[in-house]
Amino acid sequence: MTKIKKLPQNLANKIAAGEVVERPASIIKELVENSLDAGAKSITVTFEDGGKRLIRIADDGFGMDEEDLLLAFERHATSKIASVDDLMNIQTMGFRGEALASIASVAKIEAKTCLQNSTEGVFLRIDGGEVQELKKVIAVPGTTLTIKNLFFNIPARRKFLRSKSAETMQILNILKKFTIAYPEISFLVFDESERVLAYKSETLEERLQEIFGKRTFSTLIPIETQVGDVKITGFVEKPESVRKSIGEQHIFLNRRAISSRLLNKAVFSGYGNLITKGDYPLFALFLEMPATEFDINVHPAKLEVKFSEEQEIFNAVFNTVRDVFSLSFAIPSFKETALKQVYRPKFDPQQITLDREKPFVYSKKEQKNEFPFSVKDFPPEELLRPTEMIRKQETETPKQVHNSMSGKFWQVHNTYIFSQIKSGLVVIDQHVAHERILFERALRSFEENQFSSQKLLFPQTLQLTKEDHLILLEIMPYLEKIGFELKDYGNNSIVVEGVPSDVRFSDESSILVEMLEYYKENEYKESDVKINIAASFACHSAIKAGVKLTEEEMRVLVDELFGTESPYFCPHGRPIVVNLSLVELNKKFQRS
Amino acid sequence: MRFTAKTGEILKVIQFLTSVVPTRTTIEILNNILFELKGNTLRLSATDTEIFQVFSLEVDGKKDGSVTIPAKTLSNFLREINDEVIVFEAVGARISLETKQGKFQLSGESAENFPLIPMVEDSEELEISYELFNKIINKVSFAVSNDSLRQALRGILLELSEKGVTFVATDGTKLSKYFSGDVKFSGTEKSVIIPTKAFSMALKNVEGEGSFKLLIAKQHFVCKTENSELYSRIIDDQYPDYKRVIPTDNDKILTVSVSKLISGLKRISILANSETHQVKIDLSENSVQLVTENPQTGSFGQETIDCVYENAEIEVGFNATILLDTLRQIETENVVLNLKQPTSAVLVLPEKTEKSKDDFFMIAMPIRINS
Ligand SMILES: Nc1ncnc2c1ncn2[C@@H]1O[C@H](COP(=O)(O)OP(=O)(O)OP(=O)(O)O)[C@@H](O)[C@H]1O
Ligand SMILES: [Mg+2]
Repeated sequence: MTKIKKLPQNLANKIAAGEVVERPASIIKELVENSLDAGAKSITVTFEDGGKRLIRIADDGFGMDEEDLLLAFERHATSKIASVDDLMNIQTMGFRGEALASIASVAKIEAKTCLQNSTEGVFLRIDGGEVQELKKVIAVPGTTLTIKNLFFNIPARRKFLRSKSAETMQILNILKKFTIAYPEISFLVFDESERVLAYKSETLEERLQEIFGKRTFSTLIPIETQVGDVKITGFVEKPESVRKSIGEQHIFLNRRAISSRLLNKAVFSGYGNLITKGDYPLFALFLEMPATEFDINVHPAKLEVKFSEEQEIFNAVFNTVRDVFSLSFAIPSFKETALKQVYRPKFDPQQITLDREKPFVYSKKEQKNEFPFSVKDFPPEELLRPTEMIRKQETETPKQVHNSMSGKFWQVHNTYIFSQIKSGLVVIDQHVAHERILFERALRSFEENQFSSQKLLFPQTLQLTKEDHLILLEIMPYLEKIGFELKDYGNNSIVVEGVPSDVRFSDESSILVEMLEYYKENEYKESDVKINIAASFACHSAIKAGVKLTEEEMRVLVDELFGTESPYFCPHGRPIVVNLSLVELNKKFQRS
Repeated sequence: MRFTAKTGEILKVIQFLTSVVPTRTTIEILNNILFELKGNTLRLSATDTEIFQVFSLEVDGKKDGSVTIPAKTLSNFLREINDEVIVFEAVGARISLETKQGKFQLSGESAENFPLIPMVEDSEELEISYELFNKIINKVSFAVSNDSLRQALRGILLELSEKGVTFVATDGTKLSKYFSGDVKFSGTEKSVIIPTKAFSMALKNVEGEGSFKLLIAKQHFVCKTENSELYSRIIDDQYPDYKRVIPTDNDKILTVSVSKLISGLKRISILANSETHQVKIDLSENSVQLVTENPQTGSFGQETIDCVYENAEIEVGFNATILLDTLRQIETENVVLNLKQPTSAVLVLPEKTEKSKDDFFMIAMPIRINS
């Protein structure tokens, strides 16, 4: 190993500046990267109180001597690069020489490190950036860093940290990326004294099974191609088994987890029309290419990449994914398609926002275009037209419209309900109408504590991931107020014993999984937990388009719709009712 | 293919087969009926890929052959034909029909692409009378789920043994189980799940017969009569372990007139929340009180019915629709409800009479009402 040196000023200036220590998860990311750079074979991560109280990373890497250990906490001190040329050809995870210094300035640190083939190591304690203790100790080869009381000296930033479970989730998300990228390295993770992960596989196949389970793994197809300098390997989910796995799109560049809109888009486009808008297939894609072909020194967090040949990389990924699916095994089997059609909405209402006017109660703030199928793919004019139409008719209140309904209803394409009103006719979208009703009903249940729960003859067990289990426990009191009856059975499993009695479910457990995914996706955009839960419940429990309704069912639906506070717009701002006036019709038929 | 047939006879068969033809399908040919003529026997088949129905008819055959004809067009057309006899002729996929009134042509499709009749091996027999079969199917099929993603719940479970046969259906909120020792089965003990539609088609096939046989093979359920054959796929799925959820220690016993309870529930449920249909049943000494309250609309209903009840007071919530569904299957004057706790499974039974030797009961799951 090379010794740590302070970088010369001109080189230090070329390094993307900025803070990398935002939250416990980002500290863990930096420390695990250091362990990987130190050639560790096994890494143990421990955290307490979502990492706020304590983080400990222990590795069996090559360790440091006393001199290096002291230097490691200096700014711009690194063993990984020495010249500007090195910066153009980075082979390690770290290169800025900044991480430990940043961490040392905001937390209490204890470091113990020992070189290979040695039994004597060094112990160092730093408090508020000052060395407090330095001594020789008996140790095993490797490095252990303990970070205590994060932001103890900066209360303003400490306050900014989220709840224990939210921070825990972030940590687990970060760790997941490493465990996928480094299947040959064993990871042990402890949340306080509970062991939450213990991965000791050797191949990527085995690791993916450890992480996602055998069943999910069986829905993945391996890929492998080489285009020029670029090698692409990994796994993508079969289109017919795609469930909304938001957050399970993993892309690695030379084994570094990156976030790239471009490459995400390439994968999604590779699926073509085999998936619907709003589907999020699971994938883990590994790109390998010479470090001279891209720049990771864009942002201090090293998540973003600039490729020198952007278009070529895009094409390589796109073609690889597309070619996989042009093979015959991607054709969905008869049974599976029949099943999927039942509960998969044609397209996802979340994708739509009307930004010109905001007449709705619940809107998504700052829709980030992380994925290629977004707002832009929907012609907004088409959506705005009905809105404007209703606006023009504002003389008629919803109540007047409702009262003047003929009392007869027709269902068209098992999706829209037609009814005659005084000034013409209304068309109602059954799914969004029901969504609005359930949304308000859920919000009411939270306030009034009135609900009923249909008990199930066969309680359903839901096996969740650690993160999902945490979220579910957090929102469980709300779910119960909607009418779910849930029991925590430990071991990340939940048993569904009852469901809201006003909705029919075709699968009691998948509804919760869908709601969870929706909830997670909106967690950072919708600050009001109640609204987020109510919207996710409404979205996934409402009758779908394509379901035949009896006239009585239509009547009940319409009556309830007009009993809501906002009968014209669904919680996502989609129009529910479109008004076709006689005036308009007469004009169309050139009748004056 | 060429033959002469009686218009009325052939129309009847086509209409019968039309109930198998799927209403919506992406496989064009399933909209057609397969005609196969051999000598004087015409075999007509329709399938939705789950069920395969064949009907044989004696006609005046002229030339053997086969073709498929769109079911809907053909039945609409035949309904308007007043002549007694009709001549069918198919050259390739071109079909000519001739009656006294005139000549008509329509296009069919080659028989080649029509699904093949299922191969059935090693079947075992089940013998049952039409009357009993009809009764049992009616008593259990109401509990089958129409929309569950769990395939198993969309069918009826048959547990076959030498002692008799048990029929079970459930959608997860209600369950119906009927055991009869009068169904004869001599094969090896086993369980199969049969799509409800197969049973309702089978009932149509054997209507009017005294006693008949059903065949259970590894993957198929078959019902044959003199001139019809019905094949259905068996649902390949795990049936939930229903025995485990049958309550055994429900110690609160209510006996009440079925008709009074039904009419009371119907009245009360009109005032109930139109989505949950929730009603409360309060039991106290020899009295059943039905209560519903809907703060949303301000409606309220309460009614008391005499009954026999001598256990501790209890209050149970129900979705009136579910409870009514079970009560409608009770043929005795009184119904017996066995309860335990406000939210535990409730047994719904006919009153015990001397002549009943069949074992029939239902389960209704309550709802927990928080208000
Ligand atoms: N677990 C470890 N085992 C051995 N050496 C380590 C370990 N962690 C840090 N070091 C040494 O300390 C130096 C400083 O680490 P630090 O994370 O601050 O910077 P870096 O990894 O070089 O760059 P970056 O700021 O991009 O992470 C490293 O260059 C490495 O030599
Ligand atoms: Mg580092």
